[in-house]
Amino acid sequence: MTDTGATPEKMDPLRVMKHDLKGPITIIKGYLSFWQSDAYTKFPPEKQKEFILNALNGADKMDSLLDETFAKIHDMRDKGEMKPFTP
Amino acid sequence: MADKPKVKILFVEDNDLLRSLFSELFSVDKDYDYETLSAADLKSGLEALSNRPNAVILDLILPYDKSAPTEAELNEKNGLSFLEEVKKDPNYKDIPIIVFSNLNDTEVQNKTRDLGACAYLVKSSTSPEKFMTVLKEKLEIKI
Repeated sequence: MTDTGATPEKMDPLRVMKHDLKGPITIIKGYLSFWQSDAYTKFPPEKQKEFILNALNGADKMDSLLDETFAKIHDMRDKGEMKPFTP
Repeated sequence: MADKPKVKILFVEDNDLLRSLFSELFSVDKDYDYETLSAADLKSGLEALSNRPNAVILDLILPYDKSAPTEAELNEKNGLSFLEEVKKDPNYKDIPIIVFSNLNDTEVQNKTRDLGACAYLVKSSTSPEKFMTVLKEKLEIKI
């Protein structure tokens, strides 16, 4: 369907895992940056609490993703599917 | 005070929290009145183009159809194929597309540029302020 040329090899499982792990980091940094830039003052207190909760949810997501990622890596290693990976 | 100009931003992104984060950011922007169109998968993103967004923010790794994700789809259809499809469509090819991904890979970045993306931002190293600056530049907004 596409000739982008950067599809299957770029969607290598380890690359996808790395991408997925960075998702929660983006969330955590994004919400924390509201405080760094004082942007949080533009929001009511209940929104500020929601932002903190979202950042904490990001940390929880990171925690569970790390567990899933290492389980997948162990599984791939056990099956001999590990390929050289350059981050 | 004059009303802020209205802009529609289509967010093609499967991470709910990230979409929320940027919607909040848009809500307090002093320059523009944003309408955020959210698409959690590529299929919805393609459908949402008919709303004529002023810009598209595009993730690269997300399902084609969130209701029926498959590993095969992840390999065959992704943000690159979305970008290619949109830029080939005469109705939508002029809509600026900013790629917003955690794939920090020069080859992929070059590919998106070749396919017609106007910017590539790596999520985890782009502050909300930087994101807004680039978005406004691409919307030809003078801050």
